Amino acid sequence: MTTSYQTIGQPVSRAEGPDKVTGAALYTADLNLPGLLAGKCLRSPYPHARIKSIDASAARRLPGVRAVLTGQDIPENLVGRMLRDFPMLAKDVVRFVGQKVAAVAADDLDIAQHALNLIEVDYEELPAVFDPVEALEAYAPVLHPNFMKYAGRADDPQEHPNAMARATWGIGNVAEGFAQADYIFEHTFRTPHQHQGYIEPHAVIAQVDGQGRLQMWVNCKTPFLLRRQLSEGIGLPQDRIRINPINIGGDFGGKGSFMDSHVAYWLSKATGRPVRMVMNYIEELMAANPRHPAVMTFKTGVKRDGTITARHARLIFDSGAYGAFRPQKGITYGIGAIGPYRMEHSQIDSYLVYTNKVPCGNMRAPGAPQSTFASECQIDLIARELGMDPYQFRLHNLVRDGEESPLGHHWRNFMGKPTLDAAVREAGYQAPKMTPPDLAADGGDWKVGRGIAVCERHVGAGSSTAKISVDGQGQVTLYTPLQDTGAGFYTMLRQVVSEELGVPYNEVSLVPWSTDDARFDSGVGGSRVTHVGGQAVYGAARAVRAKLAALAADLYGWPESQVVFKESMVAAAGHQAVSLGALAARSGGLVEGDFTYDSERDEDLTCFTAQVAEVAVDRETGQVKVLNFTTAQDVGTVLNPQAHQGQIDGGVMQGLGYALLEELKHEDGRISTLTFGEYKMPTIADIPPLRTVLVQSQSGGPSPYGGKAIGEQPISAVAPAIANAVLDAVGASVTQLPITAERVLQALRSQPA
Amino acid sequence: MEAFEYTAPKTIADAVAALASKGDQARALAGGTDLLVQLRGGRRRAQLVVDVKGVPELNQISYSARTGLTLGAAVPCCLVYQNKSVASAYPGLIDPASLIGSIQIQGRATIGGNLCNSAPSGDSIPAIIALGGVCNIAGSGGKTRQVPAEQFCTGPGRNVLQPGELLVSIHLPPPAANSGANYQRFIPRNEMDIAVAGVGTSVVLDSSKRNFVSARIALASVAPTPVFAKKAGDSLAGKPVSDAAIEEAAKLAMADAKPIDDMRGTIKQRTHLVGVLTRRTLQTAIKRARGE
Repeated sequence: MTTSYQTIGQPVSRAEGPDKVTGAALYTADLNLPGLLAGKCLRSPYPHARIKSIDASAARRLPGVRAVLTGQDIPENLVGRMLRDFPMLAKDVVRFVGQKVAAVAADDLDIAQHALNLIEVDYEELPAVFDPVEALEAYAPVLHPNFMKYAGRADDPQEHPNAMARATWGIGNVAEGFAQADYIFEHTFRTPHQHQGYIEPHAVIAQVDGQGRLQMWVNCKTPFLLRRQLSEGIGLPQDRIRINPINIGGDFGGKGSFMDSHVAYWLSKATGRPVRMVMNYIEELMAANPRHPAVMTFKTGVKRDGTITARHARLIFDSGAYGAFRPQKGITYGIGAIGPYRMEHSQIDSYLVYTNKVPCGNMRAPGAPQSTFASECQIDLIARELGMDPYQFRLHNLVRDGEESPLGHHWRNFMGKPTLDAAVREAGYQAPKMTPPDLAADGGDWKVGRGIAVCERHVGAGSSTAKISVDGQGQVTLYTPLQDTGAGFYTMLRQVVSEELGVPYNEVSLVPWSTDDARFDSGVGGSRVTHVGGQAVYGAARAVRAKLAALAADLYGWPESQVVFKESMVAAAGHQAVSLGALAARSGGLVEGDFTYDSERDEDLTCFTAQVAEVAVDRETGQVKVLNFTTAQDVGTVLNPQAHQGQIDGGVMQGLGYALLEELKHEDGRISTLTFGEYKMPTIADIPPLRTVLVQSQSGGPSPYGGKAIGEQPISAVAPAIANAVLDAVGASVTQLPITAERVLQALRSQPA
Repeated sequence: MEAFEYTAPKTIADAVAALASKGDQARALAGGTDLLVQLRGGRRRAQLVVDVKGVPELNQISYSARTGLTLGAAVPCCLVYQNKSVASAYPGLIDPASLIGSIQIQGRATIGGNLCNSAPSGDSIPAIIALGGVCNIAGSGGKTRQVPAEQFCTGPGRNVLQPGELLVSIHLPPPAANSGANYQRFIPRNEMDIAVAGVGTSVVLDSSKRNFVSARIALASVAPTPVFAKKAGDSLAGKPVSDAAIEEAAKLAMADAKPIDDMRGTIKQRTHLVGVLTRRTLQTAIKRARGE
């Protein structure tokens, strides 16, 4: 794609890349402060138990141990991102395997680990519930008897004591819609926990400085929100807490939670020394904040000709033992569950349920991969029952531009059909299916199939702020409260500055701010940064530009509106150009501009994704190999094609892991997949040929230069596209993720002969 | 990770003496791809790590058509498959050597270490058993003993090595005329994975290449140790090569599999896979025996 821009739209490489690949970039675990101690937590071995007593005396006597804390030693404040239900250290009850019951600060990690082994906890096991459907039964143990007293809970009354939130969306009256149907289909689908799989585990350093102020370095992408949660937990006013900037080694939605932050503060306060806590990956897989598992029942009414009359989705999201890692009040999960299909009657009932498992948090497109799997798999099952091609069935029902969405929105410039058509064309969906020669030769009984899935997702919104300064040497510096999660926006934001001020993007210095330096920032996530962060930086750049243009007009008598910024020079037609630095120097100091951008989500704008998987299935072992994967994406202006493609490829592969491999497996509430040997993420050898088609939307989006969003868009349709391809290849309907070989075999065996 | 002492002896005698000095608190280090991970994860403990990579006998890789292969216990997988004469004489050994871990792991990990780690899922062990491998073990005072590969592992992570003993090398007999071998495993990923089930087979055909003379079959990940499915292999001896004979051997191999349900797979799936992989490896081994 070509644009009329200098830097925007160019596949420029990462300005922050060299520091990362050479190891110069610092992460939380790299920082060493004088007197730094190692902190570590003792975790519950039981999914639900009463703590009868804790004896930490032997641990306290161990040489090199500087503090041992239990729930008795700190205030009983409950903490959370919105719903405050999580004790910083368990005091009376533990509700999942891995919950923190004691914390140690010691001279080194080995001593800390040894001290944990010396802490004796006497537990009385309590009845536990692991299945979210069972948790809603009348006989289920009630996990949070004081729920109604929790701050930040949804206002609605609870239907069941274990239902922490419920939401209902829809239009019309589904009973009426089902009455109009010739056929009614009902299917239930299940999805597992998915861990975000970032390279860097959660890490934090807390230091109570000489003024009693908390200094914190933490790989949290929402530092302003964390500051509030810390304040609520530890009782310091927010202005007594400073979260310092630091690189974040991967996020994928998971780095917005407080994790060990409060505990690190209490250990630092108790010892008077800085304390570093770095979770190891066993702790990450056991007790971080993975994607919610879900049990989803979809009921769909259709006419003989394939017209959908009504859809009802009942979605039960398994939140685990606490809701504290959910950033919203109430629930937003599954809001797109009905799919982008035309119908007059729709209803989604979405529940968040407590169970005695790891508390869940956010991961890339929270809620959407679950419900899209269920929704899009059922679309294929229905199409096949009706004898229609799944592509034709989708075309028949897809919302067209100008029509109402199944939740009553009127999407502007809706790109459903052109994007689906592009995916189908690029993938060769209708071409003959051939088993590749290398598979045909390996002794397996391979069959090839193709599957389609689609989804739509909004562009994120929120608030951000930025400042830009230009000094007398022409050095341009961008200040931002956004912390770098690795997604590439530190390059994209520099490109915006570059475009507006006419300086090379990689000569723009970027200085991340601490929480002292800005009023507020929504942080990274929710397909927000290019829009919100981009507009804040764009606004700041325009402000600087206006000041410089006014200065040039003032100094040189140039017409202000004709001042152009190019190649680090400022010019106006018919006049001798001056360097940016020389102009700025004439101001007598720095030329600065800042801008704060606030936005609400635009419900009438969405981004459409259509994907086609081509798979081979070995009928003898059930093994699924993805042969090709095609993504068509509706886009506005692509600010950086390389970073944009990275988000698509990364999202597809994270979706492919979700489809075929990834699952935190449980045995009686204990996660058994506690290493990357057992929790299987795709490796480079698992990446099939990936194809992308970008379908240009005329209206574009709310980001500067008309960009839309891409971070969360490519992940959700991957699993159903693969499941539908398996169905196409061998007729096996796998309704539970991941689609393991064994589940494929089971589905094959249960087929009618 | 707890601190440990480290020594790097240059002779078998010194290595054995070092191992003996700490009894079961000493561990031999070759590639380290299992040991270091286990020490870091607290799954094994060692007061003393004896790095055996400097001992010449453990680095030898010598093959002759008359005497077979002597493979030092510290030879990394990549040197096995890069050795042209070994690769051409024992394709059934190259199968596991080239699929263990990743390229990087294969540069460090050793077949000897795979045996000594004694995981039920060790990919090279069924292949070594199928090929009739024998383990050469050194003990204190210059004592040596030989143990057939199928008797080497005694439980998950356990084997016949006594405190102070060292696996020096593995010996494979020279390949018989008209013989072939193959190892295959089932993994959820395409690499970097642990076998849900694995099968190694070797066959010797008669001069017409239409009848089995003998066969050996061994299984991974379906019991506390790698399994030598002797009855399954023996069932083929003297029979014409046929789908029925192969099917019968596969059934017997399935009967010898005693898997458990765990996070990697169920009893049902693993047993099923033993049948599938026995058939497939026999077919490949037969092709190789026929020079196809």
